[in-house]
Amino acid sequence: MTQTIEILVTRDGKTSIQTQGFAGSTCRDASKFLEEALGQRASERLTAEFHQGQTNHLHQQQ
Amino acid sequence: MGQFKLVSPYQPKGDQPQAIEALAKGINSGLTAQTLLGVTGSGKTFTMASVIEKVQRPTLVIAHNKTLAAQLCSEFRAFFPDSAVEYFVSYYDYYQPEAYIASSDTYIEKDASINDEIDRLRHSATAALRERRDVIIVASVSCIYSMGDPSEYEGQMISLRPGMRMTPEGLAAKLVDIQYERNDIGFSRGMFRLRGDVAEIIPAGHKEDGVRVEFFGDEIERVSEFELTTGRVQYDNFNGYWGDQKHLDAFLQAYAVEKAKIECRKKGHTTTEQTLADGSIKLTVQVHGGAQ
Repeated sequence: MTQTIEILVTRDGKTSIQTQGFAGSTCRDASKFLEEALGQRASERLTAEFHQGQTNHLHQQQ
Repeated sequence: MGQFKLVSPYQPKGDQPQAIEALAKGINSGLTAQTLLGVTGSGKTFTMASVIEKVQRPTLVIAHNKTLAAQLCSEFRAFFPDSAVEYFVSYYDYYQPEAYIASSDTYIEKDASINDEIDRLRHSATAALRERRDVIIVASVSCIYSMGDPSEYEGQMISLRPGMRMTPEGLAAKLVDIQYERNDIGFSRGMFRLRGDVAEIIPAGHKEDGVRVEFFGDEIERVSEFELTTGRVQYDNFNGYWGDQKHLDAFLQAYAVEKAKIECRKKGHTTTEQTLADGSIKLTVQVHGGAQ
């Protein structure tokens, strides 16, 4: 599975980051550089896949 | 100036497009009365919302009772989330007019109890009409008893701009003139408080936010809006000095997109950009070499 990071920037500048295809908690490391660049984290939601091999989860930032 | 923009997952169907076209044409040609007939559930409210969007004029919707007005108000709010949809009904929870019963020689004194929340909504409705053009007022028959002459209402306004010459005491005096009450402890709607060089006001039409005015000597330095519960400054564009909120948002969005792209490029990842229907921008980053 290819590893991708999806960043959604809404019209008022709020961003959310979703990672796909990373194993376990490595997605956190993968998207860390973006989180640091885009500001303070407002919330984090772990998807079911996080607890399985493949992960896919969401960060929301402002 | 705001524009009416109808938000709905549905498109006009059946007779609706024809009705919308005819009603809008009638309004624009100056007809004073038109009737739209439809059975329950046929989409009369949706048709009227479409007409409002087409003619782009401030609209008064009159319902024959408060409950129906509230229902229509929430429907129109859903149709026009970006416009001011206001509720204007009688603020009396209880009203007993003065009366005399001759047979038993009884005099009944006039008595009334006013609902503070509805009073606030009425003020909010009146203020919206002064501030913008994309306004829908949903009212009960109460709207025929006005809140006074518009020019008088305008005369009760205080204009506050950064750089304006005014002292905190001067502002306090003006606020008292227009019936605002100074209260440094119990702070609620229609009151203001003054501490040093900072005045905080809760306008009569507001509930969750107030206006903070900061002075420097005899000059206003800054005007901002703040949240009442947390005290956090909600929105401060320095009274337009930093431009429209819409432009600030667009700037923030562009900044976030560019910043993310630069960071991805630094890591050697490729990004593709896509603008979505709602104006959001989606960046898809292909991660090369993995981050593990």
